[in-house]
Amino acid sequence: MIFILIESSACEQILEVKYPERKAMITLNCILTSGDSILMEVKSSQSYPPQSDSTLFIKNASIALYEDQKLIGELKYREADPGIYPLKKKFQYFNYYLTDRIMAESGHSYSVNVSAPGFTDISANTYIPFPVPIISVDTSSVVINYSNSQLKSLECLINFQDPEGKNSYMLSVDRIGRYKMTYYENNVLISKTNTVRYFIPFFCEDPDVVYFRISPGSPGTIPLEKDEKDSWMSEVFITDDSFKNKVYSLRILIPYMLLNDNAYPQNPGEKFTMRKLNIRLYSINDEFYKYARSWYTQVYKKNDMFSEPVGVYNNINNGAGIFSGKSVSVDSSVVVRIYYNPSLK
Amino acid sequence: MRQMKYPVFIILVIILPTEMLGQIHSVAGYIEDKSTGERLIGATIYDSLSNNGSTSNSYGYFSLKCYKGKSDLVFSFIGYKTYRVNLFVRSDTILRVLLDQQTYSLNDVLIEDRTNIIENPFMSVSVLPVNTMKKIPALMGETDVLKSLQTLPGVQAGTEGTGGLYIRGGSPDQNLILLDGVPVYNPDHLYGFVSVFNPDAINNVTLYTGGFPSRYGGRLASVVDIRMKDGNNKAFHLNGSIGLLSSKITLEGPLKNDRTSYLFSARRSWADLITRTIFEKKELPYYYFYDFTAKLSHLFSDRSRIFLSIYTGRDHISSIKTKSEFVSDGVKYIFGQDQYYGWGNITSSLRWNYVFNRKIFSNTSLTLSNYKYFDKKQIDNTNIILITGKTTDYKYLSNYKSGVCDIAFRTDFDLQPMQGHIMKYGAGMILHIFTPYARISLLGSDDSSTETDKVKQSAAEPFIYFEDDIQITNRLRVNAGLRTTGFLVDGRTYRSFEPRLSGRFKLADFHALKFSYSRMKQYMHLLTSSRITFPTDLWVPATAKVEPQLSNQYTIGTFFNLSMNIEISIETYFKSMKGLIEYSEGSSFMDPGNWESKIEKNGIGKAYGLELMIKKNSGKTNGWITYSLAKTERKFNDINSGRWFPYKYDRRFDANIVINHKFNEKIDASATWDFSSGNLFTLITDVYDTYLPKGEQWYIQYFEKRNNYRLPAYHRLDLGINFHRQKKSFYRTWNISIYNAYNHRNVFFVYFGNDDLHGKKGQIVLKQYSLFPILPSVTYNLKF
Repeated sequence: MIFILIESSACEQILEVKYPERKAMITLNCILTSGDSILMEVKSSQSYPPQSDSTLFIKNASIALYEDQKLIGELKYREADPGIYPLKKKFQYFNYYLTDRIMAESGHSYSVNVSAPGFTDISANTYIPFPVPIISVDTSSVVINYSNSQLKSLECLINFQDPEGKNSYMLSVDRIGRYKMTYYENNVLISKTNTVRYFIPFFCEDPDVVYFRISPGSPGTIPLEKDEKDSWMSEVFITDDSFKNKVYSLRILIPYMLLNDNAYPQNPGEKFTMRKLNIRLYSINDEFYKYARSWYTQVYKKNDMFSEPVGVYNNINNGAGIFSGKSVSVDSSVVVRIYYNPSLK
Repeated sequence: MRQMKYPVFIILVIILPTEMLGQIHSVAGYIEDKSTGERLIGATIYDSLSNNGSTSNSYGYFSLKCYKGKSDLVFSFIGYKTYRVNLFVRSDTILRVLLDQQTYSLNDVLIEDRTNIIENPFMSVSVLPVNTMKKIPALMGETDVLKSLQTLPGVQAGTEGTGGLYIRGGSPDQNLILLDGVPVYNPDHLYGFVSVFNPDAINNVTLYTGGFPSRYGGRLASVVDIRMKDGNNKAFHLNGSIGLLSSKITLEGPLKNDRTSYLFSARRSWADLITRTIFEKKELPYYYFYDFTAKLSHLFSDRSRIFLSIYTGRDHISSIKTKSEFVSDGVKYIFGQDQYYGWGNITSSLRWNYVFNRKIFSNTSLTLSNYKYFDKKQIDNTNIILITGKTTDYKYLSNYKSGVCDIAFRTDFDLQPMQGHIMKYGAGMILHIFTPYARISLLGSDDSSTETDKVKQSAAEPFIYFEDDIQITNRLRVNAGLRTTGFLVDGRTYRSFEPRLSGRFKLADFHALKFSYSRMKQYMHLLTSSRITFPTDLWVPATAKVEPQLSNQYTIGTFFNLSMNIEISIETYFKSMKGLIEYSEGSSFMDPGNWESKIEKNGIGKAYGLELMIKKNSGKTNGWITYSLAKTERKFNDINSGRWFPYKYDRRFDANIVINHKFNEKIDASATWDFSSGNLFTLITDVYDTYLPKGEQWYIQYFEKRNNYRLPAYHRLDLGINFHRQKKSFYRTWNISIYNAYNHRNVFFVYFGNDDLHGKKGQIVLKQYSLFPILPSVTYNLKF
């Protein structure tokens, strides 16, 4: 009866929110990768709730990049090629780009200043850690329980020596493939072979890893179910809190069904995938780890009214986004059979 | 044992020379209500010849050093006639002082003793008599101890209508709420709309928000010391009331005149009884709460008295019972589900007061406090094959519990070894048993499969304290003390030394400056959501990985006692905290896993503010006005990117006005107005998109810092009027209250949702939910 009374007397109304006077910020997204060309995304934030789904690119920004406090160049705006992103030009979207001849290098610090008409200037600093070599990858075939069934899987134990200091890592697995595509451009039939990197989802039961959950039912979406063991991962992040200065063995499981060429996105045209697994262990700095962890948590929890609010880690002064660095060591020693139609067991 | 030597040594050093002089004797004893035998806490004793004074302690005991020869003793207490006695002191003397209740004229209704504010060395302390509380208009007529405290300076309420106390930047778990010396872990009925303390069974409530005496410890923010009535040892009395929310009855009387008394008090919400009777066959959800308080006291002699008090209370929420059945392929399927949950406290204490050698008063107590949250769910499925009649039962039973249980033993001593010193010292041990999580699941038709998942942690907390109230000069009086504690948990031992100092410097008879410093340590945490407080919040101990909480508080203030019984106090404070915990960003109690993996540890906090109180203590119209200006912030390494952020209950302004007016002997009225800055809320202000690290596009919701938006201010006016009449055999009071008299829609909570109220379903807007509109209520009170 109390609740009936409260319920009948309680009321809901729209709150006239006086949003603080805010003007749009410059947002910068850039993960410098050792040995790779330098490119950044520079966009404008939108006030919440967003009025459109479109991305607000800033095309007239001035961007100065410094390496070890020395100016190494100014980034120019370009509109990248549409379509599947190529190996050396990872982003198919609009971005700022520094020539291929200038590469980011591990062991260096970088800073960036960005200004654009109508926006407050932003700045950020970071460094690129040295890569940590993969000592070895031990493999075996195992059967795992998955959604009340069993999956025959490739178990990989990725061994590496954690160096001194605070370190964080990102791990991903991919295979390189090529496919031929044909299309008309200006009434001319064009035939082209593209090289692509196919990321291989995997399971990782390490309790310390942070990962972006991929729903097995519809890859790319966030599963709402609590049983996280059933989530596939496309990459995992981990800090060395539990294995400082020790050899660590990170265990991942790849169901053989995911090594089936047909499991990959259905690109048009002829397809060929190499048999080597590229196991990539990225050394990342703490800022990148915090960014990934907080961002994944926000995406996963933003509709949970009981959970604490999640602020995505941001190291951009006067703006938002991430400016960080990574370097990679790759192990390509694992060679898999070509599976076209592997059985589930 | 090395810790014990220090206070004992001091006591001996002080006592021996005094006794050797042979010129000073103790006058000690109890101060009691003449008509009920109830012992009076905080009564004042003053020797006008020596200018020496003292106050009665929590058990009504006082001790005063007097020179050999004549003494002119004055005993006074709020609401009682002052009693004066001339003594010729030849030796140590024990007195039993009986004070008559004052019959007030229209112009001298006292609401608090006015001399203490200048004389007392303590600051940040409020004593709120139950009679004053009962005058304050209340939600649905339910006089509420904790909500009454919210009208005092420095005390802020939580959400609308609830009794949560947020004191000087502290969280609710940082309040030590004692019922007859026993901690009460969850003081809420009905999700906090009613507190568990039945005002009819309460004698006295004292609130400390700073300058803590060293006899108290274990929490950072406040001490709410609630003392139950002992029970009338002169005559039988019964009183009761019927309100919209609950009804209550209290019986008290002597079992043996002047020796043994009892008190029983019970309260129960009754709405469920009606709904369950009217809708007998419909299995509707229902809610009830009850509490039961009992106390028995026996006087062996003027020196020795024993008390046994018990409190038990429970909230019970039963959700809808469901039962369904259908037939398919010749099989009849029957599904049934039943679920209820709730929470409750049990506290009890066995206390023994004894006076040694007419000089030393002791209190020894054995106490128990047990708080439990429970959630029981049962699912019964039955399959019947219709042709053969074969029946198969499947049963699932889940029994979830969390809680905390304390068993404590302590002994305390009071003595006045010489003029100008009042000492208190004591020691004790608390055994804590925490059960943050326990679930027993039974599965199968014969309970054959039982799963037990239980987290239980035990800890021991020994403590020892010493304090000395010293009159250094006529102007300067200090209370200095030290409390040392330990906490043994998970094979780790934490130790703490907590110095305390309070003092007053009298600038004039009507004006004093006061100062205080307190270091407080808290070995337990309440794991609670920053968005809303639930009974599901978990009490957890400091562990090997999770440090205890610690605070240092500095306070200074100035106090005036003006003519016309007007008091003014201005206090300013700074408090630093460390060892705070919070759920990690994105975590909640719903998430699986050990609680230690879901929290951020080693948070720090700071709070500072200014508090003003103007109080008119007597007269036809009396009451008080309070104003607080405050700020509180917290910082954790992995929350808000490691930057300071305002605590959710950081309210810049808080003001209260309480006015009582007595029209005549039959009618009195009260009004309270409460204003405070709105709660803080984390408002998403911007979004931006990103493709990192692998190329998927997602929007990131951006807010500059946690709790970045202040919700609209809270304000509310409550009115109440009482009509009293003495009938032939009883005294009755009609109370009419109006809660939220001008029907202001205060924010209960806010959330983002679709603008469906204006038919714009696609548009996201911030919505507020308000709880109580204007709510009139009527209560009928009877006293025999």
